[in-house]
Amino acid sequence: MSFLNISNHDSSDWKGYEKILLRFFFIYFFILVVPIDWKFYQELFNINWATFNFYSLFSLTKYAPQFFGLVGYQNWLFAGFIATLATIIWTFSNTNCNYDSLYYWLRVILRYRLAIGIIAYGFLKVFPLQMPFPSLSNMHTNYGDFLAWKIYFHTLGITQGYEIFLGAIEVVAGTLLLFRRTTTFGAGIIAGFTGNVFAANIAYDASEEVYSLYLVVIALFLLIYDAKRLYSLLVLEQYTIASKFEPIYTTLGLKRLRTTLKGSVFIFLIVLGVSTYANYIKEPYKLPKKTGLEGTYGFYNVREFKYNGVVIPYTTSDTNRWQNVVFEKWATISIKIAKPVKIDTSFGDVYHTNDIDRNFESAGVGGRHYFAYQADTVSKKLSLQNKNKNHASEKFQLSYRFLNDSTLVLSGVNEKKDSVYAVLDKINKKYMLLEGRRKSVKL
Amino acid sequence: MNTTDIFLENKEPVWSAFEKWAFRVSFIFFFLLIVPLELDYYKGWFTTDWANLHIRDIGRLSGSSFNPIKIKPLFDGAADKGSLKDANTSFLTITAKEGIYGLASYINWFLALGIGIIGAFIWGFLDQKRKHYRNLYYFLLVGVSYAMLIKLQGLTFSKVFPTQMPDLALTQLNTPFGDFTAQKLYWIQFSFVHGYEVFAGLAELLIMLFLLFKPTRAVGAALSLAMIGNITFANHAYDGGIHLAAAFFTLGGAFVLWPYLKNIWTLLVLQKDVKPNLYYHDFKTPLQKYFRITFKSFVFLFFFVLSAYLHWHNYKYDSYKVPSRPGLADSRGLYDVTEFKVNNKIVPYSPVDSVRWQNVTFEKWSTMSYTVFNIFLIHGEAGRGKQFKDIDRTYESAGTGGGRRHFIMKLIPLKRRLLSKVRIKFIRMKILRFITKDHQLTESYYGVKTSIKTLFMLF
Repeated sequence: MSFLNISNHDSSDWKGYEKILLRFFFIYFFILVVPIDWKFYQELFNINWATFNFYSLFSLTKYAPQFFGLVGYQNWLFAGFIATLATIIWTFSNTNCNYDSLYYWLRVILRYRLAIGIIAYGFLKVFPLQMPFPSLSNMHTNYGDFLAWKIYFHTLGITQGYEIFLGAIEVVAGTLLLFRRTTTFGAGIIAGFTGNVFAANIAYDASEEVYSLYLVVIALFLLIYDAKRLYSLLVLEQYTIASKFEPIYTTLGLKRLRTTLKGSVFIFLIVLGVSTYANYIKEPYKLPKKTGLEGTYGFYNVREFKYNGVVIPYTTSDTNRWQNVVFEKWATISIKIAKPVKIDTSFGDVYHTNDIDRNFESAGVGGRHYFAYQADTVSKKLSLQNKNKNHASEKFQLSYRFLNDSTLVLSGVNEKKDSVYAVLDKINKKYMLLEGRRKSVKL
Repeated sequence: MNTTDIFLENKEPVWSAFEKWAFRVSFIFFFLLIVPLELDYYKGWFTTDWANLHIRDIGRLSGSSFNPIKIKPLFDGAADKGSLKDANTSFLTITAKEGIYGLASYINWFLALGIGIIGAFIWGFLDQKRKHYRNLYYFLLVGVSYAMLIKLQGLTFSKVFPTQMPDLALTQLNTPFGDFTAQKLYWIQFSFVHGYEVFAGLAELLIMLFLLFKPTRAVGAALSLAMIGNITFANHAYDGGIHLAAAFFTLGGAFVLWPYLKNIWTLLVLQKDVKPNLYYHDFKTPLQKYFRITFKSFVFLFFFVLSAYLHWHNYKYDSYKVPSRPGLADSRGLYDVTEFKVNNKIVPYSPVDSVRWQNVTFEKWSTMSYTVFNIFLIHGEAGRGKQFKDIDRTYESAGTGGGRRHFIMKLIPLKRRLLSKVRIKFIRMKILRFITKDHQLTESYYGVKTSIKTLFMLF
């Protein structure tokens, strides 16, 4: 029984079917884990080191092959198909090999692949980038106007400390995988932790279902190694023989190869960690970079509104009338208008250089219209463009004027040359989310 | 503690002085935490109405918490302890500034530990010749395991039959994200993914089952430590309020797992063969055997089977979190208030008017809510517990701010009119401590409501 127990320094006795299984798994995982897809190298060589940002490295860690445009699990099937064919050829070609070594190396490959994947996601939470704190616009959006995944992200985003804690678990579990003797602990934590992430991805439709299961499958395969021993020790409470397997590096070349590979993984992870931290400090990639117009951050009631010179009184049903406006800390304005929103169904999780494309704040959420703006503080002009790709043609050319600290007048034209005029009153609202449960609150 | 060597199968072990002391401390500490010390608990077994059982009763019989020192909440409505019942007696009440969420909330644990340390010295003095406590240690591990699985059953089955986080109310769907407390957001994220809630419940059920049986106890303890340990962290992060209950599973899990750890470490990390040598009490006499089987069967039938049945029954026929009385027939929905009068004078729509209603929701059950622009005193309660009366069931409104007010309705048919015409009487939910002196709800408020169709992104 060799999958589960390599118990001494001698090579162990692999049964026929075990050899076949091992051949299959070796090829199967090799195809799925080792970068054989040219797209990986295309990405790797396209990294612009002059304008380097962590996301290029991060995307490398998410490697999984894509065959001929197949999506998700279909790639697994394809890899399974190739592995089956190759196993048949291998079995009939009668070549002999050391199966202990083969198994050992398969585990090495999987350990490092899993460690890199899980640590990369860990960094994304340790430096809380993956779930930023909800934007002010999102705080002013009804609970029912979010897609499920966005609620899941925001619910984590409101407690950055907890997000850091979850990231730390991933980093620690990944680090345990880098050492042979602690692998089972790391794989066990990941099977539970990422298993839960997988379930949540199904429940909340959060787009990483396939990738999280990919990591869980690797973790489970690594766990099998000690499963029988643990079962014998904890459940049967019998005398249990330990795995005494120690890899022996017979040639100097092999030793050097090991040191080089191990070293480069460590260096890669350190560079990834430092650059992720730098992104968090300098420009959290899910949020726009440019700071907003000074003194505008806040929630505004639209007290007065004119459309083509005609006053439209308060209403929640007119599709031109602005109801309220949020100025973010960064250069985004969101406006509540009764005009329906064709929702942006992307996940806002990709790195973009331009603010207009950084759509985490508006992805997966209805209720409000989001505009990126350019401010000209000399001529006091704002140039607005809708951030939602489905409404990209919506634009406003507005001039702004402060009546006082908390009153702002916007006037100008939209892309159809209809004129708008809005008087905004800042409302100093208190939020239950920020006030918390510890004290009695008046809102 | 060098526990695995202590549990030698055949020969009597000799524990070091430190091991004996540490055991005595742990024993007293856990004894105080898991054994109900109030008479009320035992009375409960005789005063329960066994013919009309409700899950509330099982909660009451699932043990108690050791809390002779009461932490006084800084304001009303701040304390909610779920189904954990306070003892009636308290010899000290303190008002801690960090309230019921910070380190001070663990004060009774520190007290138990203090009693344990002092008790251990006295016990050691009286019991100097003792070589070991392996039999007592066995029973302590079993006791902690049983206390854990019994305390867990309520949370388990209210997720397996998803009532712990019931369906989202319309009022919640129409409340802005920033108007919920963090605790509320943490809870209601389960309210629209019941499959995930059931999954979490089944994971807890697995922990309960694993803890019940000797061969799986170590795995159960490890799962409890990992899974509920995470929940403990989350409760601190979100001010969830049941961190103490969760922390018990974390600590208990670690305590039950402890004797196994050295073996696991030796086997996996040191790569040495291991002969497990945990000691188990030998139930020799027929009386002991009989007692063991009876007790185990009772725990299984009562806290697994009966508890599951009652939770299922509640899920199917009542769901204690939201009012049980149905609302006005076919009224469920979100309404725009298109016309609004106070004392027959029309008040035009305005988002910044403190009197004028903006929109109204009617739930499936007898709750109505409306929004105005006004300042209310908000309570930070979580709306937990298994309330008996509809008016006490505040889950849908607890921890929610904004200008939203929630009312419970009584439908009173008017005799002389057609049967379908009903007058709606609003009753202020008494738990919601709104300021109402300047804002009495009377019949002179009259809203003409037209339905607006709303598609929720969430569904």
